[in-house]
Amino acid sequence: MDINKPSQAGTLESNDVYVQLLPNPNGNIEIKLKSIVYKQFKDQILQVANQTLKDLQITSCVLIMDDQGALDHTIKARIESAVKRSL
Amino acid sequence: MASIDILTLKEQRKIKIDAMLQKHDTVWVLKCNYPGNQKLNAYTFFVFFTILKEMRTDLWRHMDMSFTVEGPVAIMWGNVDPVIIKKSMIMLEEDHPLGRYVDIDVIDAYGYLKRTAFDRPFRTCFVCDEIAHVCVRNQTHDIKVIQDHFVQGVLSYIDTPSKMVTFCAMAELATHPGFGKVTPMSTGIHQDMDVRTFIDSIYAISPMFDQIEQFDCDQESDMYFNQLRQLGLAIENQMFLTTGGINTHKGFIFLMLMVLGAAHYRPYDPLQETIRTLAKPLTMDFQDTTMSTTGLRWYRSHQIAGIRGLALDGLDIVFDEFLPYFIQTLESEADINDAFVSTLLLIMSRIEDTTILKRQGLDGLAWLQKQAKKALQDKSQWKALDKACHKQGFSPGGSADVLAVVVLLACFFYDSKEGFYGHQQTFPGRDVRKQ
Repeated sequence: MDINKPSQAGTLESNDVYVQLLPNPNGNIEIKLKSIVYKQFKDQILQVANQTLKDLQITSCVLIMDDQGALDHTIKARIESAVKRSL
Repeated sequence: MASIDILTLKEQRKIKIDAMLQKHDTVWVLKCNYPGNQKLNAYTFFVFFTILKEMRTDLWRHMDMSFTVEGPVAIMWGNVDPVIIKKSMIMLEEDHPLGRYVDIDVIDAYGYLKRTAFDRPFRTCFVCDEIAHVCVRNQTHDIKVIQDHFVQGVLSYIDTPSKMVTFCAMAELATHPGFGKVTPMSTGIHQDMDVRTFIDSIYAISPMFDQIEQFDCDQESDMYFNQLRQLGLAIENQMFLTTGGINTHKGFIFLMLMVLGAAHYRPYDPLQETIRTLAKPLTMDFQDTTMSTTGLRWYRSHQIAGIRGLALDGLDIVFDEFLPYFIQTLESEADINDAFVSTLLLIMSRIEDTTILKRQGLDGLAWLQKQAKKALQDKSQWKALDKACHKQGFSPGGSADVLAVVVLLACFFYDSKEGFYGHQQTFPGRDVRKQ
């Protein structure tokens, strides 16, 4: 499934992640991550994001994440929210 | 009200903040740093209002407050320099003894102001030196350890009678569901008061309890009791002045004075005995032929001694039943608020609450005691009982006051090794540290 409509979810509050979902003209998945714990958790955050998109069968999008230390389940919930809102 | 989860609440707040920033330069948000799925309890409530008091003198007018599973949250706004606000909030977080237990966000049209832009380091974990965000993400510490640190931080901040009274009053108010009493999210069955009425009352009356420290402990017990009584009347008067004639705390004031007064009077003697001794003059009240109050009228007709009876008994039922239950339940419950609710239900099932008698009579009291006893065993009944109380106009005011004194005794006068003794870390004028 491609993302055709932009959407967003989450906030910039502590322990949350603000995500924006945009269509990707390149036809694949591109994730842009900014995080206050980038150094320590970049890989884990990207892994959760990719897995969530995969579980939702998203094959093409630009996912922009501004993370304030969100736990995995929060990241998953926010991405799911954004996907739902873009359908 | 349907249970809304924390993530949804955050998004709803974002919408609110964005709208406020259309009209004002700066918005700032106060929340507690307390982990868990249900963040509203006596401790977060106390921290919230203690810090909030540092911020604005016109407490209610320029803020948006909410009390949910997210805990207490206040949003404030103004056409002021966001940098000045951020700097002062950073200082508050770092310098106030309870500062580490709150999170204050400052936002302007360009976004969230970051403490790193003000040359401040990332905040550290409560229990280790790691950056808090890293510990949270790694879930390094058991949630109970962090919650316990918060609790202990609050308790060690409370070192005067007025702070104790404030805490206990907030504890009784924060407990939810309230089975008809006022809670932070509901006025219960009451039309004339809400959480703000109670907060105003608390702040007006609690400083007056420090006057106990001036009482002469060498005088006879009935003279000492008389002094307590005079102070009680003065505090009650202040309450009525502040609330505009609404009785928010009469029973609470009485019970606080009995315990704090006893603890100050004879710090080395068993509290129950001192309370029993000090309370003796109350028997004179029962001989008063005018019997002008509800409580006294129930004594004349049914020998129900009410709150005076509790004191004349040296608060036996509190020490023997409610305290051990509260302490044990605090240990076993994952959600601190549940322990408070449970204890409130136990009290409701056991005492002759004259505030219930007044509205619902003996039958009503019997019904409530039975329902409370059933609900004790089964949390799934709490919501239904809360609803039934609202529908039928029940409000367990007396039980809530007894809960407050249970909290007072458990938090500040109990040592698990020694059992109870008269004092804790208060009454600095007297050398009462047990060797």
